[in-house]
Amino acid sequence: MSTLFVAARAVHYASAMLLFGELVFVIAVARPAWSLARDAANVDGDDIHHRLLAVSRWSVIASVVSGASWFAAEAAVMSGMPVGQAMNRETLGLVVGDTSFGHVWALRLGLVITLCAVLRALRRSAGDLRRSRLAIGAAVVAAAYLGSLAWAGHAVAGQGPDDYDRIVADVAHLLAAGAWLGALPALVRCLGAINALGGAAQITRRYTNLGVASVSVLIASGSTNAWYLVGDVPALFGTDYGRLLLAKLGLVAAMLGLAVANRGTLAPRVAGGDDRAVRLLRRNAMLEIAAGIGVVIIVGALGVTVPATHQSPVWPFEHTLSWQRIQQAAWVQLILAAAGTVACIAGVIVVRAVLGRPPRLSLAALAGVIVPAGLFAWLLAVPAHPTTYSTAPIRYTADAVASGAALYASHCIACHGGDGQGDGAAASSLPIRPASLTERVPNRREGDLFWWIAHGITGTPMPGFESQLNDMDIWELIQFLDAQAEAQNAMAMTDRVKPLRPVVAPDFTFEITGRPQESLARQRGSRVTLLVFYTLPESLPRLRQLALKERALKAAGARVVAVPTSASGSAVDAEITGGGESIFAIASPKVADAYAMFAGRADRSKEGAKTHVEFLIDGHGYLRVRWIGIPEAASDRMAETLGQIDLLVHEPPRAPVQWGHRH
Amino acid sequence: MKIDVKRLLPCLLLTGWVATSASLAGAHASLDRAEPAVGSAVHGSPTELKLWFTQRLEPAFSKVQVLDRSGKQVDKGDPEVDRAVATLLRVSLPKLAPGRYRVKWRVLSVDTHVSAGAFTFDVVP
Repeated sequence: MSTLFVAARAVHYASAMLLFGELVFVIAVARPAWSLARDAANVDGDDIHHRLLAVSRWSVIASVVSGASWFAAEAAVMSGMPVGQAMNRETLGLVVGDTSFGHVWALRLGLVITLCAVLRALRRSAGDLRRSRLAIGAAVVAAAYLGSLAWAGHAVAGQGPDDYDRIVADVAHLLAAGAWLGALPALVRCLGAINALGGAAQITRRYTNLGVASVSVLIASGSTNAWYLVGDVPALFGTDYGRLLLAKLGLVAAMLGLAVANRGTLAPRVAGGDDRAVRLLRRNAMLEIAAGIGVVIIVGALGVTVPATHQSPVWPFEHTLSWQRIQQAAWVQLILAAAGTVACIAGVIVVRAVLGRPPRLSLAALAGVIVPAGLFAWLLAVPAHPTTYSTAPIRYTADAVASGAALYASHCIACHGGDGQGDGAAASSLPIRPASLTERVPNRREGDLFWWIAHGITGTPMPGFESQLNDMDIWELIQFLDAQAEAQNAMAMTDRVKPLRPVVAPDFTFEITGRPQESLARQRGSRVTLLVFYTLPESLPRLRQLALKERALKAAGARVVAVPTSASGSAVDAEITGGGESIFAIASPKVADAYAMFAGRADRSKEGAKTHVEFLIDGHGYLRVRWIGIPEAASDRMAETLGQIDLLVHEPPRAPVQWGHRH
Repeated sequence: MKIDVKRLLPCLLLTGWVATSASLAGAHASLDRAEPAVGSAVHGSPTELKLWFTQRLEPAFSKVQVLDRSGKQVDKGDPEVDRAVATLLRVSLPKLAPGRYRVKWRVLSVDTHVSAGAFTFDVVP
């Protein structure tokens, strides 16, 4: 079923490109060439004109049939029913009337009918001026027909101004492909039919210019669409979509190679009057068409493949490149900068030589590109695993951290120790002592961590745990390892705002009576959060004070959320209010457990674990200020709290927390 | 080496355009966040379920169901895509008894890709 869908798409793209390309060829290449050649060599313009347009009839038929198949297949996919079942009035009506795709398809049906009418008039017309006008009109309609395919694709589903860039790039890409690839069959037929050399030379020259313009637009618009992938090379090699894209680029490169040979070597010879060159040119053009068919099939397949951005890439190689390796040594960076410069200059020389007439290949310049590239590869290579570029399916939440803590306690603590410093009970008997996790974990990709926990590290005593832990367990364990490292940084937190390395606050959901469920992450961007973990009955005076001052704190820019620690018996009597919003939240006990990790002081005392702790979380989601214990002088503490809130509110902006917050 | 400015200028313009635009090479609508949140425990019965997605949705083919432990549908059967925010799908809920509930969603994004998923949330007294 899916194969038929791909075939329908491929045929539709090909026929739409052919319709546009034929007309572009007639207008921009053949017509001007004839008006010169006709006088010289008695070429029958009418005959060739009709032959050129005969193809259009078949293209229209193929386009309508494949367009209908595409529509039917799309209706099946959208409704989730098999194709036969989806062919009912209600479903089809919904697709045409209520979906963006349906609207576009209805419009395109109108366009193809219009195109039919104009082509008919063109076929029956006589006289240069009338023909020329009708041809241009037909080309405009064909351009709309081809370009509107952009609205059936990925460019339109996003939001914001980026959309326009993508749509323009898609439309430009389609039209340029149509002008280049769609005009090739016409070129092949023309070169076979015209015997007058004068005609062949003109046609070749004009088509070459058209080709150069089209290829430039293709490269620019293709790069725009692939820009996101370029920043994400793992997806290019690690997903089906990415690999299909690489295959497409390979075929396009082959076509470009042929085009460069045509332009550089054969076209000058044709201009010089070489008969054999015309035949070679024709053969090259046919090879380009063959490659082009492959490209169109891949484009059809890309449309039904899960896009790379929504899959976890599976890295297929043993190594990958990483800047991490060279971050320490300055001399390495200098060498790489020099090598990069040499490669760039050599690259420009190679491209100029290849685009010359005739094309040359300078071996010295080529070496100037390959040697620095090899140096880069050698210096930057690090070992990699299939999961290296995998992303965690869960976020950095208190629930995940607490679950991970329990797993750590049962599987890891024996060797790695309670604080991850490699000082567990069994560690002394190991031939290689475990490294400090809090130092290593922040600098490693989570995908690598996943692999090591699942399969162990060869050459060390670290075993693999995939038989004991499932995938979700391992991701939760990694969230805990992140928290463990952050807790180390949190030791340096004090009761004053400091510009230290910010500690990310794990997210959690909470409810305040009478209001829908909220989460800590949603407070970001709006206000500072004062997160209070309280115990009863010791915290009551402070809680009363906070409830009374709730409005003042809100005016200062802070939201107060009070959560019971696991030690307290029951949630507080919610009748303590100051007339403002309630500050008392109900949350899972795992939240207090997770935040207890951040409640230790630099002298390693974990006194905050079961007592009253308050955190100030800034508007970007970082823990910034911490008060451990119950305040003695209530009014002093309130003034202090307001002062710190003020500092945070007036801080210059910085980058907010990224959920994949490493590297 | 002579530099042909007439040819170079379009190249520079095109490069500039490429460099200043970024784009997504195709996308499915995936679940961005939910209320009640995925895997969370809600105290008290929520009045509606809200799902935010990463792409704009087609209302005609986007649906969501809430099932109880035995697989029976408990939502009010009125899933709709918010008129103002095309990435938001909501369905209203009656009073739910405490327990675990399963959400099953299937949405069509404007770029004709279908995606589906499920998650659970708990209602606690």
